[in-house]
Amino acid sequence: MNYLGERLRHASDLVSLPEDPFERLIRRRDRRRRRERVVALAVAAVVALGALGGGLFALTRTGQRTNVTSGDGNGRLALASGQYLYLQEIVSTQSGQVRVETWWASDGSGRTTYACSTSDCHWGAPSVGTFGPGGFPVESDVSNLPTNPSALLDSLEQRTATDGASPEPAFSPGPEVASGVTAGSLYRAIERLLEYPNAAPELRAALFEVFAGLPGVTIDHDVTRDPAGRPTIALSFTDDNGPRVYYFDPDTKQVTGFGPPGATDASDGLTIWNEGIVTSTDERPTGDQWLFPPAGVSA
Amino acid sequence: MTEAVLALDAPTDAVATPDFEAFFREHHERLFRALWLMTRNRHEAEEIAQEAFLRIWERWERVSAMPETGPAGYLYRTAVNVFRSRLRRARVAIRRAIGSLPPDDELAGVESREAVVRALAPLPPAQRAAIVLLDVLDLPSEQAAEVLGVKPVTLRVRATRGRAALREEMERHDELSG
Repeated sequence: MNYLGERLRHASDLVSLPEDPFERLIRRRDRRRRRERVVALAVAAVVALGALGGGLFALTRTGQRTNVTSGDGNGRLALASGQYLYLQEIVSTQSGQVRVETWWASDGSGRTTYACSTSDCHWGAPSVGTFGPGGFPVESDVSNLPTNPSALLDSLEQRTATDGASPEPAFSPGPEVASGVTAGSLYRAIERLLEYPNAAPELRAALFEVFAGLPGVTIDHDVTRDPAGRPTIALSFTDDNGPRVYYFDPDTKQVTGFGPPGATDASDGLTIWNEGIVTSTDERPTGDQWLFPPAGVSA
Repeated sequence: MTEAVLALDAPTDAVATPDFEAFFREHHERLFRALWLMTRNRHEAEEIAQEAFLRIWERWERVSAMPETGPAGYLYRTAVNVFRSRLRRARVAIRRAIGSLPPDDELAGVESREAVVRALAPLPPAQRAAIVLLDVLDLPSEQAAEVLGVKPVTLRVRATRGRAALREEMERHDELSG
């Protein structure tokens, strides 16, 4: 081993190992299995009772309301068998743009394309290609997360906690909203989920509801358009990474973008999303297939 | 239903197969320490290692039979993918999560003793990963390149640049500390 390698290895040897890592792994696996089964049963029961309804929801434990009308996009958000959720993510950076397009179906099939004009295009690139059922690369299966906002908040708290399936670093600021879970860790968890190409439209709408009700998140009523000029509900918050604004479509509650406050069309750090539902990985949405007005669309 | 759910529903119950547990115990420490160097955050390293092992476990029957790089190669590839994925989410400057993770207490302690660890900080994650895979894990460049999903020549370029930057940072530190 070379000198640098020796120094690095020596340094890493100074860090204490996590306690009982294998036992933690077993608990993590068991929790994931248990939660997915419980949620699946709960969803099945709810569906059987026909109890899924729209309307305002109350985050009764926190006593917070979003103060916006909960919408289901007039039933447009359901992703049926054989349909694909199309997402186009356009990220503006100082050195260029990154564009990622994904088509994802609930059977785990789909397609990803990637175009990049920044200075380091390979690093961080997604796996591109067309994938058969079960083959679409996802970081985490979130298909069993509830789409009822109140139940989703419970789920996120369990998932985000230090011993949860997807714990977030404890440095995140903000008041503690549940045992071991701060509002800041929930901001981060929701941000991550909103970037998942396999987060279905109904889940995205529920994430908006949860997000808007968290302590420290405010609806900026002065902002009525997102940086791409589309009607918007703007949610503002600040965490370790500074102030940020997320933009949501008022009708479907889908995220349309995020960036620093006051970001314009091509500001560094601005991300713009386009979203729709199509029936093939070879097509992009048109007309009513878009879930909100598209911006800056290109092939 | 996705592959992950199918795998989780498989009748593996709460007991790991002996092979997997042995595999875990053999590789966990090495992977954790390598990830710590890449992320410079203990919690992040532990989280990535746990997620990578869980994904391996869910596919253990298939992964353990891999003829080429074997399960260890698949483990490192999975871990780096998780790392990259977390990094990709944070690629926008305002959300550069890895860079913005506050140094944990242990890192501060190690940094005070090891200039090389502090010198890692300003390196781009790609260079940091290349150095860790080649110089700490001692992977052959072809295998390290496969783990990172780049050509071997690209990997070597990144490692060369990273080492040069590391040496420069270390020399600067040595001068400052007299």
